[in-house]
Amino acid sequence: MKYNINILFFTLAFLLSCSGDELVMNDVLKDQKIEAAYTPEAYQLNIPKWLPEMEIPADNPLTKAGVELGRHLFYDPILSLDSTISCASCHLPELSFADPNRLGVGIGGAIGDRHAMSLVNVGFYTKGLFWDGRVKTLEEQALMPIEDHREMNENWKQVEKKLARHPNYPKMFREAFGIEYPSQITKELATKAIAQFERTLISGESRFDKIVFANDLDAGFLTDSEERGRVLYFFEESQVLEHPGCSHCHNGPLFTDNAFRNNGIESVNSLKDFPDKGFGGFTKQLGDNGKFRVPTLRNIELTAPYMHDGRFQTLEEVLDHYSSGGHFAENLDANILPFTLSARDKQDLINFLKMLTDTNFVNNPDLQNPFK
Amino acid sequence: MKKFTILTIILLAFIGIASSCEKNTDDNETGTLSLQFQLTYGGEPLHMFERFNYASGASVFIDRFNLFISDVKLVNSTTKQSIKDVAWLDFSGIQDKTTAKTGVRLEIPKVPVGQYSALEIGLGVSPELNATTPSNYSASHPLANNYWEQWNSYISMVIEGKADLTGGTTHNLILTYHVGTNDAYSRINLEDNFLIKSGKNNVILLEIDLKKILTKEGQHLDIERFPRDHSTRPEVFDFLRLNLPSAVVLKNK
Repeated sequence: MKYNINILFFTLAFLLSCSGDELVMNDVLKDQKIEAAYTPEAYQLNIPKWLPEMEIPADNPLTKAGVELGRHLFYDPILSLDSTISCASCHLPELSFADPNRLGVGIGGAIGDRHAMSLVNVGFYTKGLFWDGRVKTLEEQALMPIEDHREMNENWKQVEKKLARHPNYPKMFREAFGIEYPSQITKELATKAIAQFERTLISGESRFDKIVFANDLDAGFLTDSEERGRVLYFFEESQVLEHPGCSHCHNGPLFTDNAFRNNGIESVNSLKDFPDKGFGGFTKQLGDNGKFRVPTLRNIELTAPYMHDGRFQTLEEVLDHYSSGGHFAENLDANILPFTLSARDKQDLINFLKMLTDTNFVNNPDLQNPFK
Repeated sequence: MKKFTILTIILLAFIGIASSCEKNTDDNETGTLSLQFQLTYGGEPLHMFERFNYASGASVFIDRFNLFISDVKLVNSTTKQSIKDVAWLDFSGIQDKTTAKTGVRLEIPKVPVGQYSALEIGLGVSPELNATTPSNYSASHPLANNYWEQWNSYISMVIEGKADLTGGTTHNLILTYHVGTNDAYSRINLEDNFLIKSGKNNVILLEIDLKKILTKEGQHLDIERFPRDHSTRPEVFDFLRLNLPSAVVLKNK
């Protein structure tokens, strides 16, 4: 009798556990038509006139619903295996969408190889994304962290299922992309939405912008220290040509030339010896080893630590590195040359760089976590 | 019956004219032109990091060579056809002998077909375009970068590399030459018979000889005295900008 009761109990438990799964699966398998309107409305980017025009892929025009969906996905840990990590875990809005950790931290505390870079103005990057330029578009880029074992460690098939079962996402995908059934949610649509949101991460209203580009008299004038820093940043002494040379690489209104360079932070015996090959790992050209993306200096005050591996904690350390001339290698960028940097020079340069902080950007309510 | 025959002939003639008109589409009146630029040193293909013997006895390699070209035109007896406003020739990806032979290819679509007698190229950024700034362009446009605030000008030519003055293998002298401003702009007129064929990829091979930029008539740029210049010293700036036009030639001419 006791034996029969045990069998009955285990059978019941088994059936119950199965029915739980079936319920979940049935939600997907039922695949009921989504009850929501599809009336896409174009999203107008607010790009200051001194920034370049942004190039939007023809197959992913920005819509209000698409950007909003992208914002939700960006902040939602549902994309990770154990629902602990979202894009925003490493790209914090208050830090100009950068990471305070030296290296990226994924699920279970897994440590990545590189620092998570700021996403400010990422929609303007046209020469490849990531520190090594290995993907061309934001849509492609957003595919990768989900399946990286040291980031979200999930697989897209599972993410698609989770999104399809979710109480809100099917409706949001319908509003953004016109799908009719939850089963039509795909990784391609999810990454399109994330890319749409990322294209709205536009910063161009720093004090520097207001004074220099907008001629906004209410923004005041550069202080003596900022002006001296500006000259050090942009100009060179005409006879000795000694200067920090920042604007050779961090130039134009984006404060980056979008190029890949070796800035001399690694000491190596030969081009083969870089511990992280960076751009060379992608191009497979020896001369590109040890080269990394030139990051924008917009909001640089907020985006510490610095460099692709987050080795420098402060801007003072960064300037000390550059004034030293860096470590020599055959492909050391020719603009990395030792220069004299007094304590005053350093402070003036930092004061100038702090002019690039855009508080309107980091406080923009449209860019914040929608789940808070 | 006669009326019917005449109507049929008119109809057929109309169809014939209409179909012949259809053939005269843009695609049939234009072709693609590829300007293929090969960087050389003394006529030999040169790639980044490749050592060459400099006139001073130094061993030199370059790791970056960039050149803006602008206001490119094809010329014949009746017209000057503008075919490209501006382009940035970037040789930094040319890192081996194979790619050095190919060089950098600039594809220009929709070039009107016909016989041309010359190719005109602006070396550097034309003054009209040089009056603009990166803010005026979309993010991937060549003029969205490579701007030097101090000059209020684009950097029209970049030569960067390293040298061992003793001719040895320790190339630890960094060389940086950035040429810009309106004074750096020049135009060349390369005469030949260029036939642009409909729907074809027409190729013109050009050579940029770095040796002709760095040396001229027994003189050479003194890289020991001037390892760096950003268009500030006339003895360097003028030497480089004035040498450049004769360094760009039609290949195999």
